[in-house]
Amino acid sequence: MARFAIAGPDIVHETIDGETVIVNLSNGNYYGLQGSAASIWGLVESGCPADDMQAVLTVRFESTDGAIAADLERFLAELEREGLVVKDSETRSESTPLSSSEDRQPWETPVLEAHQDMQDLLLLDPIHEVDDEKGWPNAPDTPADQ
Amino acid sequence: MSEFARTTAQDAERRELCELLRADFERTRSAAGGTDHALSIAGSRIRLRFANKVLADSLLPALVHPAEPAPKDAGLVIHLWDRASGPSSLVLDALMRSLSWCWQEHLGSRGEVHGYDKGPIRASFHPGPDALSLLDYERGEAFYWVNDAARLPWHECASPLRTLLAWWAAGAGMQMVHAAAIGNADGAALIVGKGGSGKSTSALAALCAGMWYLGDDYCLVSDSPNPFVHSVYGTAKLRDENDLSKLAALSGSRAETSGDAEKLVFELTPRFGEQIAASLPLRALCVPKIFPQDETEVVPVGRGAALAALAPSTLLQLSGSGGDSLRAMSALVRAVPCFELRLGADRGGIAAAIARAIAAGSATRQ
Repeated sequence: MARFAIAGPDIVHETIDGETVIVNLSNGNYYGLQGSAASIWGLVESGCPADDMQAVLTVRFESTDGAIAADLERFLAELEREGLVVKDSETRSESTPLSSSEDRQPWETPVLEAHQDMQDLLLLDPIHEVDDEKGWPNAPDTPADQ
Repeated sequence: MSEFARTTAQDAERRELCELLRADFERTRSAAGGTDHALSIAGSRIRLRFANKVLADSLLPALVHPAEPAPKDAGLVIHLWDRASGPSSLVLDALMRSLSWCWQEHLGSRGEVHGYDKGPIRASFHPGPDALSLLDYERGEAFYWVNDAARLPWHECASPLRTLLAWWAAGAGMQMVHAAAIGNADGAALIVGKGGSGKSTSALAALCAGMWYLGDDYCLVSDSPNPFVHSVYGTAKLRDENDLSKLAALSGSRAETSGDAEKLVFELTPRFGEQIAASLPLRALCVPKIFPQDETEVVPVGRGAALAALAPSTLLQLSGSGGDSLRAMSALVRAVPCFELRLGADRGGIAAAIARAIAAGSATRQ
C-alpha cells in the first residue's frame, strides 16, 4: 500500500495539546494545523497507508457522509504541495489496525495555516531570490500570512 | 569508499581545519599581544582568548557576567581573532574568500557549512559580518574568526557568539531561545514571539519599572530538574526614537552604533547592572500581543499557540538546530503555564501584568 511520509529532516514538528506546529527549516515557512488536521498528520507520521487513513478517521470521528474522504484527499494534496510530505514509493503489505472508539469526536475540517513571514531570517540565494528592483540583498516581497 | 572510510576521512579533514585555525590564531595573537577574558553563563565558565583588543572591545560590552580571572577549568575555550589583523595562511585566506563570495555553494539555509553540520566538529558562517564559528565538542574548544573586527555590523556586536553559545549550550543540556526574559523574587517569565511582537518593549518597560532582566532577544533555558532561564547578553534593542521616548530611563544607556544600524542598541550593564540576573527559575511563558485597550493584562493561552510563538523564530535563527531543539522547547512549554500578554496603551501596567503571570506560575509549583 502507498503511504505518505514526512518530507525529510528539514521538516520538524511537534504536537502539543492537540495542536501541531510544523517548521520547514529549508525555506522558513511554518505552519499550524487546525481542526482535525493534527489527526491526519499523526497518521502520516505513524506511516499509516494512505488507503487506510479514511477508515481509521471514520472510526475516530463522527461526520456527514463523504466529508472525511473529501477533506482527507484535499488536505494530503495540500501537505504535498507545500513540500511537507512526499509519497513513499515503497509499498508494504501491513495495514493500520482499526480500533473502535466509544468516544468519537466530531470531525472538524482540517486546515493548514501557513506562515511565510520569517523567510528573511534565512540566507537567500542571491542569484534567484533577490528583489528585481532593489537588488541584493533585498528579498522579494513575501506574500502576507495566509 | 565505505561509510566508515568516508566518515574517518571527514573527521580527519575537520581536525585539520581545527589545527589550521589554531595555528593561525596563535600566530596572530603572539604578534598582537592578546587579551584574556572569561564569562560565567548558566553556572559554567567560558574562557575568551582574544588575539587583540579591537575584537574584545567590540564584543565584550554585550556579554554580561564576567568571571575573573580567566579560569583554567573552563567548560569552553573560545579563540577569537580577525583576518585583518595579520596575514593568514593561504589555505585559510582562500577559505574566507570562498565563504564570503560563494557562500551559496557552501552553506545551508541557516549558515551551516556543508560537511560540518553535524558530528563532533560543527561550523557555521555568517555572511555580512563574515564570521566563521567552529566548535569542537570533544576538545571543548571553539574558534570565532571574522574578516575585519573593525567592521562588524551592529547586530553582531549586540548579541555576539550566538551560534557558538547555542551549540555549547545544547551540549550542556540547555537550549538557546529567541525570547526576552524578565523576573522578580518569585522567578521569571519568558516573553516569546517573532520580531516586532513586543518582546523588547515589554522587557524594557518591566526593567524600567524595577524588575530583573535576563535578556530582550536571546536567553538560555534548561529544564532539569526544574525549568530555569539564564541570561547571556546585557544589551537591548528598540526599533526607533518613538519607542525610546516612552522609556526615557533608557536614554543614558544608548550604545554608539554605525550609521547602518536598523535599531537603537542599549548597553544595560552600567546603569542597570544590579537588575541583570544570571539565572532564575522559569515560572511562566508570555506571548505578547498588542490590543486596542488601555489596560495591560495576562490571560491563559493554549500551549500550542505558545509553542508556535516560540519555536519558528528560534529554529530559523539558530544554525544547525532541528528536531531536538523543537522537542526541548515543547518540553519547556509543557512545564510552565502559558499566557497571552495583552499589551494595552498603558505601558505602566506591563510590569504588573508580567508579575501576575510569574505569581500564577509560582503558585502552581507550590
